[in-house]
Amino acid sequence: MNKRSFSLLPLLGANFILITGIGATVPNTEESFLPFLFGAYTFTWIGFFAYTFFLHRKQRDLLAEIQHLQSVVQNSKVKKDLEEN
Amino acid sequence: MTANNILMILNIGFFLSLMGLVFLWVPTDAVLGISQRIFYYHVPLAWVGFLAFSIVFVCSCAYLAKRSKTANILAYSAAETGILFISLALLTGVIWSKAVWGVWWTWAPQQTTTLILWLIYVAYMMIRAYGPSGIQGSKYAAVLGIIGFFDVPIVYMAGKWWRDIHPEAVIGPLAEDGSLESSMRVTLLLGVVAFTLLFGYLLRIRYTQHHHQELILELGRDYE
Repeated sequence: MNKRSFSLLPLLGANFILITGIGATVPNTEESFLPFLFGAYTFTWIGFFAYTFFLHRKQRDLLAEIQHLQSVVQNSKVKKDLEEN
Repeated sequence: MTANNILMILNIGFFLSLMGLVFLWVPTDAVLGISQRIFYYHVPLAWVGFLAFSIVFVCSCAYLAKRSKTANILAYSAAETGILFISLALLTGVIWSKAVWGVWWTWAPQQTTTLILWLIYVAYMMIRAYGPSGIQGSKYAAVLGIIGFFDVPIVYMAGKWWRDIHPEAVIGPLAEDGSLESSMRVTLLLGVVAFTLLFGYLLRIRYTQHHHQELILELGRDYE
């Protein structure tokens, strides 16, 4: 887990406390529903941003693989040319 | 401007409009209060999850019939993106359940069948990740993708077949006329469009990545 993932933990923790704590103790008023609404929307976006972050990392790994392949092909071409000469 | 950028701009526009409608326009539900606003995320998330698994079903059939590589990659990408949407639909459902009924999980038929659907597609992803590589693994995954899809109509019909505390269907053939106030209906439809576009955006990126991954593997094999 990297630094960026760790930075999401306090937000997750705050949500959990809001949902389990306030929601359980306050009687059913408009305000008592607010943490649930906030929690549902926040978790949804955390999910999407986490997935986007995962996609970004995959993209970076793919680029690294392509660069590696390019260098392997380049090296073998140089080797071939040297052998031919 | 690339298609991805256009999709992203459209997404931002639709989601800003959705937030505006949800918090500034639609009336507060008389019974469920402001917690009912979770519904504008929960229902579209579930709808897009079903759409994703329908794509998996169609592409799996196409793969088994024609051995289409495109269908195979699209099924894999749609399953992965669909799991994200169904997971979030389950999560928002659990939060709503706690707000309205006071418990996180009720084992209501719709909740339970959705959990089964989620587990089926997690199994699908496990086959993709840890199953046999190549054609054999893709075949196993396609078969599970087809069988798993049969749970989608069961989830939708569960509310009708086994009546319980879960609200009745508000979109699709089971929805009754006037089950939703007109402004709520418009907001819900906008939510469905916004989440479908977001799904399209994520699916497009994931599909391209899987496609490139396949090309790299092929290149590596050819080179060896």
